Amino acid sequence: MDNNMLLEVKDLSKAFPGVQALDHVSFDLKAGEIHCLIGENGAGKSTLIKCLGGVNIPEEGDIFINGEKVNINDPLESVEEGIGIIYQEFNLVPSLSVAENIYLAREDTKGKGKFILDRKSMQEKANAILTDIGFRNPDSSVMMWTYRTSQQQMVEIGKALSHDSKIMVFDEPTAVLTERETRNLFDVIKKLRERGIGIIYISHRLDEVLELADRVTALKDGKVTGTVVNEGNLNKDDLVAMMIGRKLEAYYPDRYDTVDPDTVVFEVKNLTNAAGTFKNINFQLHKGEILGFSGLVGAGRTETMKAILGEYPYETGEFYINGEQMTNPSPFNWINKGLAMLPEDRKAEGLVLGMNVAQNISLPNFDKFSKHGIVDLKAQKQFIKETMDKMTVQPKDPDRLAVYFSGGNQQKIILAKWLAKNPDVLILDEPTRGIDVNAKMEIYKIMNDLTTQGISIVMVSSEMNELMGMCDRILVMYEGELCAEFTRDENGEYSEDEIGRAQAGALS
Amino acid sequence: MEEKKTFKDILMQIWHSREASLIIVLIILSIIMSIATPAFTTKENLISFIKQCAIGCVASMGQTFIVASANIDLSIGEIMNMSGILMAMFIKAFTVGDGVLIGNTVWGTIVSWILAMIIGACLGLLNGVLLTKLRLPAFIITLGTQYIIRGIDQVITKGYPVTIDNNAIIHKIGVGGVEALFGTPYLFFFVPVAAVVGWFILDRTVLGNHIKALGGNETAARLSGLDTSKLRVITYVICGIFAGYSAIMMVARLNSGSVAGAGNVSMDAVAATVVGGTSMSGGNGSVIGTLLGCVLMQFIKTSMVLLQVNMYWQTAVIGVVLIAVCGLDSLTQKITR
Repeated sequence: MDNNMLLEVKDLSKAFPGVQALDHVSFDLKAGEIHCLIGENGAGKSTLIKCLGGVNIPEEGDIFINGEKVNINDPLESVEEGIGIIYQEFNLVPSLSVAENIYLAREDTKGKGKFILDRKSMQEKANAILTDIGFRNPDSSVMMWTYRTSQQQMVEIGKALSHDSKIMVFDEPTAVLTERETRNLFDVIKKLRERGIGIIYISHRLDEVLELADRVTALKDGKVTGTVVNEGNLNKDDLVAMMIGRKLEAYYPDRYDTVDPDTVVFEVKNLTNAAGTFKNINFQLHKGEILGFSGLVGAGRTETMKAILGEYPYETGEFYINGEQMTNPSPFNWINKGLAMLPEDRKAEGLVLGMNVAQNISLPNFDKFSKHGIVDLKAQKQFIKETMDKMTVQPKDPDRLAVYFSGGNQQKIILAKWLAKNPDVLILDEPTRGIDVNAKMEIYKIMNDLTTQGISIVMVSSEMNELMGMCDRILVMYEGELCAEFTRDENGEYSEDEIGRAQAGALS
Repeated sequence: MEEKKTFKDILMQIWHSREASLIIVLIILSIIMSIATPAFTTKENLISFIKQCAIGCVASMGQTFIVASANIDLSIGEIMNMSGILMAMFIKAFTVGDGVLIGNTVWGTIVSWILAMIIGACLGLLNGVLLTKLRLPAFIITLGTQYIIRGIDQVITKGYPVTIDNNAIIHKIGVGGVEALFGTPYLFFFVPVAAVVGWFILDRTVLGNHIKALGGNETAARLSGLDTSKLRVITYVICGIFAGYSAIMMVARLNSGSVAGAGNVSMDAVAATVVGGTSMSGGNGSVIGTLLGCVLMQFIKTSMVLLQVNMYWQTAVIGVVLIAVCGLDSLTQKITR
């Protein structure tokens, strides 16, 4: 046994019905090291973390901390072993104060009997912890819900530190952060590393992995495909090769030449909201075009799209579809005019997770297989089968609940649902967020194919590569305004630098 | 550097504090009522107002604990009735006159009060245990226990109220008041005791914090190492004790325990709790807010009686107030968001 190792995981296995989530996985972590875990969705990263966190119990294998074998059977034991996990979904109570959240279940008390809360003492300690990790002038007496997402994340880190965690796990921590917040987080993580805390960092963003990692381990289908030391010699292609055994080039399909520049199918004029979330938004979408919306988180892209859909307040704005003005935008009215939107948060807004695929796909399409309000079950079955075939939803089981599908397949179910309405315009808000590489490539291919059928697409994305790979034109939003428009140069390339500067508002 | 609060800041603070805004609403309504009808400011009216209000106030405080933990208890009224019936039977059997078992009316009465609260606690325990063992929604469990308890009450009493004929203490508390304090009804003094205890537990203790954590984010509470099942049981026991305590007041006021004594108190308690600023989805809770919410509801009812509004409209107005208060809250939150 190597005693230098802070954490050692040996031959860990865990199966769920129908899938071997972890298959004899071994992994280790030194003190003062950042060890990144990469892999597609479903590769087993989350399961590994949940085994460390006591949420999942492995069937086989051992976990050693400082060379000693430990048993982690519930989340509390994990905390007691010095493991702090910052999950993607924070475990905070919005209606308690920040200090009370950090010290939940370990409150300071005063008086005899130890049942009266000592809020002052908790707040002082909490402020000290938060200041220590670079939070400026924290006020831990306020309610948790008043904190922004990035601040809540800091509270989670502070909570882990208050438990004296020696091992800290970050599960996709930057998915919810802006660029600047990400920089702050990295500073904090590096500071923790200097203090000798061992850090496990999970991310889909390979740039981040290259920047942070001392070592990188890739998982695929529950098995470790390799562990490499990062001494600045690695590049993205190496990581992707480890993850999927495929090179990056084939990532985006060749865009078909489908744009009809003479036909405007969709137009937005003077869209403005009083709060300044978006200001004077004007754009046109041509037939067969994929139009990209780029910008930093908080630039107002999602709000703009929601306003178009009639789901976000705005003061002025005109919308035209196929030359006809839409005076009363709502999801229902839009779909009848041929515009459908795939929301950013597909689990909350795109699907009814507790219903099966057939029911989800049927929702807006009952007119296709019912008469006078009575459903023709046979026709419905046929319709569902055809729709699912077209989208290659896997597994092809119309009775399976939507919640059990992978992110990529959920996205395909939503697409299938709307495509059955034969829309002319699709708005896709972060269509590939949180889905694995293979599913992303499938979505790209579907988008490409759709344009050949004359469908026009607005694609909102935070991933610049994706926009540059897929779009015929890219608009950049900065602080609520459209600040730049980019098209491909003679080599069919975009200028990444220019777009980046436009996003940061640094365009002259 | 201490920043000076502007008048606007103070106004905003009051607007955001449900307790403060309720007090202001009550003051404004009182002024309007004392101008509108001289009957309002009479001693008789105020005394009868307090008597009508007191029992519901205490019962609603128990509901506040449940709602803060993101649950509901539909059986509060039935718990009160059963506690009241058994308490009345105990008094009848053992304390009348010189008493048979206890031998002394004062001690016998006190024992009967403790009994009422223990019965309340036991029925709360039953709710809590069923809830955590069967893993069913609180709505179903407490709806079920509501019927069960009512049925047992009917079996025990055969449908007749258990009337207490000659316990002077109970009788006096029910009708009398402290002459030295403008005839303030004895029932009134039950309320601040309960309010202070309730406020202290929910706002100042570790237990109260854990109950709010449970309501605000059960997963976070569990992952932090709280025994959430035990906590749920405890909240129902607390609610049961408040119900038992209000049964003491109810028996005094009605001079009997009966199957229908508490009326529609469970739902009234939910209304008072929500008007008092506790969110139905849990996580926060204000016992004082609930107290004020309950007072506001009763105030509106009494005012309508004094203004000779058609009796049938009174109930409808209560519903309008409930939706208006919560709707205003929801709308202003949307705007400031």
